[in-house]
Amino acid sequence: MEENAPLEREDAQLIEVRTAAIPHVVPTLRTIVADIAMRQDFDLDAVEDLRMAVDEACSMLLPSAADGKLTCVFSWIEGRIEVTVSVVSDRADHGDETGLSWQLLTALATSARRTVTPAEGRYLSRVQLVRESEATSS
Amino acid sequence: MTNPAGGEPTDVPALFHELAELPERSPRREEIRDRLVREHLELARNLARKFRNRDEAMDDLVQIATVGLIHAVDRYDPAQGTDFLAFAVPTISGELRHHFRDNSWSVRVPRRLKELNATISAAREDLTVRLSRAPKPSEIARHLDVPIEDVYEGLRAGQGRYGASLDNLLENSAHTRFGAPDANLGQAELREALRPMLDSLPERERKIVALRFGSGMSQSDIARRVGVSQMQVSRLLAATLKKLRAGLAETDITEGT
Repeated sequence: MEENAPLEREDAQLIEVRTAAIPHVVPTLRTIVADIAMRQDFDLDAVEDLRMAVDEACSMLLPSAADGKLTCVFSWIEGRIEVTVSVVSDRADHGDETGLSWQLLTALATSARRTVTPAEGRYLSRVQLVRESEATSS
Repeated sequence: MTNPAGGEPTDVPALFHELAELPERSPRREEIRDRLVREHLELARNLARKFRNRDEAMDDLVQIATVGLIHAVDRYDPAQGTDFLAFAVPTISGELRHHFRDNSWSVRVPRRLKELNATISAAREDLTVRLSRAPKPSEIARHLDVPIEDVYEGLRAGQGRYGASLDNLLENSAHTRFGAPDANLGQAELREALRPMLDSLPERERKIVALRFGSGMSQSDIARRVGVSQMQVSRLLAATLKKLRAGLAETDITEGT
């Protein structure tokens, strides 16, 4: 997924999941993020937050998936996890950023970005979220 | 069936005695059994309360305790010489304990993992207090002196504790917004503020405003209906709205006007 441009750094680890855009895959995706976060030694609250953030990101995008596919890229590097969820949409609208999902997402992630870019007559609709491990190691 | 509270006090030993004497098929057995169970429901509830934790619904516990009570009534043998309560309490507690041992995880997880998960939960609480933040898996491993992989495994196992219904997933999705402010709330406020002003308008103007904004009629339709020209409707509307706006400014909710 050239479009998905996750973490810029070469040495980042990456898992990409391509799946059907159906609600039933969401538990799998959030389990993946939780597992990554746990293994990156994120504190357990951050693990929970990421789990929820992925949930929200997916549910924001699922309804607009025009071709029934969803791509989720997890990438991580020392103390930082980035998740990019994307679908191909027929519409260019951003969805509203006052929605509850977005509010939650921005609260749960260290930073979150919503982008819609034209792609082959359709639009690539994306939610990117970054969570950094806040806890200093003791 | 038989008297619940009130009526004559139940002589529990006598009932058990009678029960023991009765022939196997006697319909009276059912009656006595029922009465004995009802008599001790409060005991079951009390025991259930002792097992109460934040994870389990109280109703479920009471139900389990009641099953235990029914077992106790069925198994109690007055010939043994012990008091019924002395027999019932451990029977009911046992039933509750079995429940916790066997059924409180909605996904079956090996016992080793259950125990590991319990240790991790305890460590998590300890460490959260000590660190004033949630611990990391590595900190839990160090605290418990177990390999980090075990902590991963235990944490993952914890996810199986409570199954979530598939419907739940859909309900929680973003499309249903819970707790979002009603889109018409601001409107409602304005409407309330407008009401007294509308009431003070002359009859004809009020009617025009109502037809335009209440019924959504076009100015031409209103003109025909009220019997004036469309131009006049337009002028009247403009004047009326100006009046209302000025009135609203006084009441200080002018947003969106």
